[in-house]
Amino acid sequence: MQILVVDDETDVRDLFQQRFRREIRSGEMSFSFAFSGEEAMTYLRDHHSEVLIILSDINMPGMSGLELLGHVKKEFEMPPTTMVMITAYGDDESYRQAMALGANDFLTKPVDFAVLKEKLAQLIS
Amino acid sequence: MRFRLSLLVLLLLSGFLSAGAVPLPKATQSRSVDSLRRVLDRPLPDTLRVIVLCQLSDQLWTQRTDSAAVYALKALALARRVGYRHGEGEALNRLGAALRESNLARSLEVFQQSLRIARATQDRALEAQNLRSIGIIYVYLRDKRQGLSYYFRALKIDEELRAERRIVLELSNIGLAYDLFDQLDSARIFQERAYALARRLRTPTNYILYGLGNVARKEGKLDEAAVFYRKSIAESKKVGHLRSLNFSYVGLATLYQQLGRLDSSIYYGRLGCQAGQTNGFLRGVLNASTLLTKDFKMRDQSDSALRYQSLMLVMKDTLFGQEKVMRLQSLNYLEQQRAQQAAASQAALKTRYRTYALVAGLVGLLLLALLLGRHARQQQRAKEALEESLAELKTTQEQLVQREKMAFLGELTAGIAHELQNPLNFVKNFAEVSTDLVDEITGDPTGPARNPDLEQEILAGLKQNLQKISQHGQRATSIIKGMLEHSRTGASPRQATNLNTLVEDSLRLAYQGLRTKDKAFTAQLTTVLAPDLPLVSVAPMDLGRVLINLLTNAFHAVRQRQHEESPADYQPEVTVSTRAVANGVEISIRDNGTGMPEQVKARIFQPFFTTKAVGEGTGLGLSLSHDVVTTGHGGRLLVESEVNVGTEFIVALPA
Repeated sequence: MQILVVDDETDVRDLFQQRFRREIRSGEMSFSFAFSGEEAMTYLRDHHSEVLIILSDINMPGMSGLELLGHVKKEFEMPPTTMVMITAYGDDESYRQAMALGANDFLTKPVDFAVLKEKLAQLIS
Repeated sequence: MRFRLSLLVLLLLSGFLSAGAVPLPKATQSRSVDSLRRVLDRPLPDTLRVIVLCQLSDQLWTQRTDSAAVYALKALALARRVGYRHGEGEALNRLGAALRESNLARSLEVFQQSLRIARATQDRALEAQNLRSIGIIYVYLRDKRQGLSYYFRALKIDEELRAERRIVLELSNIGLAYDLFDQLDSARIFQERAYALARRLRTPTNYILYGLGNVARKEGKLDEAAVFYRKSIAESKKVGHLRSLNFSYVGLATLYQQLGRLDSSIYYGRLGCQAGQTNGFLRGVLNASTLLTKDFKMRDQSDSALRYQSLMLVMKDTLFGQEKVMRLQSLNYLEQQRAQQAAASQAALKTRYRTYALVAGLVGLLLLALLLGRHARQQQRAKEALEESLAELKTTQEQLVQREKMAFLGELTAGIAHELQNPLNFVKNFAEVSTDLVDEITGDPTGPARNPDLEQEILAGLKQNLQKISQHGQRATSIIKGMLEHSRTGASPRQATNLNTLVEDSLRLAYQGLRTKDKAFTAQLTTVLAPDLPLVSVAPMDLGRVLINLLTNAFHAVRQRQHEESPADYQPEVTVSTRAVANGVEISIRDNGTGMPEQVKARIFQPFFTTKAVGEGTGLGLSLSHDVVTTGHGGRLLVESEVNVGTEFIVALPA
């Protein structure tokens, strides 16, 4: 299962690779990373059919996570892409917007990796 | 007839209680007591806790006066403990409003204390609030001139501050005061202005409707008056305001008494009495019981009349016993004022005599000498007064600077908490995965044979994680360092400085700083330094940091343009120049880098705004520089920029 992680913090890549070391080694999951909304769109245009789940931060410079969500839902209608939004501000307004735009789930920072693994397992099944 | 008149006076008098403790300017009125109590359960900065306690006192004041006093005292104690002057002033005002029922003299004293704090801290809104609160007391004491003078002073400040919500309250209070003194036209004009503004702002109109009802009733428009009272009752119930509910019930009951419909009058009078008793609003209880006594007397029910009469007497005693004392004090105060005025006019007269004497000139050398002596003394006094007010001005200015800084810090705190969250999460996460890695190596001694490849991988992972932890720790440190620089209070010492030297030093430092990170970077550096530049009194450390910051930004901009487009003939160039201008000195830092679009330019002085990648900039540099130049040196920091042409920053300093 291919998961695209979108966050402007580049260290997120090392963190995810370590947190999901076992899953990556066993081939259960594979991760790709984009460090801005724009980069994520470019990546998706090339690898759209491979990506199953997108995990995206909301507060990023340039294209925000919510804008990305809107673009993804518009441009890649089929097959439906699962999107999980992550934000440091656990405010109701972001949650409402994300859900209105068609997000599948919503997490607040700091991300609890045990919860995230559970959610990913659920989304796969 | 006399009885009814005095009743009206009492009834109207009570109207002035209306706007004692006004909610803070921010629209918090809608917050209920419960939600405010919940806010208090959470950990809050002490200053914010003081404000929330005050707001809670405001809310309770409309429902239970004694609870309002309790919260006002809590707010006061906390504000004093943490040395929060503004909060102390706010709390004192709430305390005064709650005490106005039980102890007028103490209430006045507390308001005056709050007023002094408001003036000392240049807190105009609090000043206006206290002027109104004191005005209410003078109107209680039926001192029309003093009462209205305080109200109008409050109104003037509100108008200057454009505090429209408070303007509504002042207008309505002024209307009620005119009503009390039977100036019905003025009363109606002010209430109508208050009503129109309140409707536009969508703020409560329960008191204004009551005031309009009173005017209509006195003008004999009884149907209209009844409509106003009923509207006021409905609105008071909706917002849970027992005081205004009391007024409007009693107003309506008075109206029915006028019509001779005693059953209705008694019915509403009792409701009014009840509302007043629940709230602890003695004056309201007095008005209701006075009315009911008369109703029952008119119906020849002497036992019921007696019951309310005794209630009335108790209230009267409580209120007017102290009011007598107060009036005495007020008289004393007036006496003092009059004495001062007399002294002042005497002084004016003397000055005139002196002029006459000079004109006459020939009266005698002795007299002339005497007059000259006195003149010298006066000059000395004038000089002393001037020096005193100058010192006062200086203190105020210092307080103002510090207050700005604290306000700025407050703004900053939320941003900092958020900025710190990311690096701290990384530290925590990398530490946790490292623990997992170590477990994996050491965890299972009975497991399969050692796997050197896996161990190598794990060790490499551990090393990387430790580096990450250190990096993010460093990131958190620099965020906090930036904040501390902002909050540093004592200004760095100023000294007469040769800005040309400072500019050259800063340029060298900034350029070398960048070269150590990017050895390949070069740029054409041009300095155009005015040879006749005067020495300027600045804090060289602070200003040096500003220059380094601006220069580093300039280098980043040209470097970025070089990397992005690398047009063949692009030559990165940074020019620094100094020049003497009419009122001071200007330092210009110009680059031919990427430039900024308008929307970026508009935000660059905001704290935490950055266009740099995560971890590269804290977003505090320019806001800090702006702070140093403007607040620290009384200068200006200007910026001109055009995309793909370049940017120019100008530091303008007064001589």
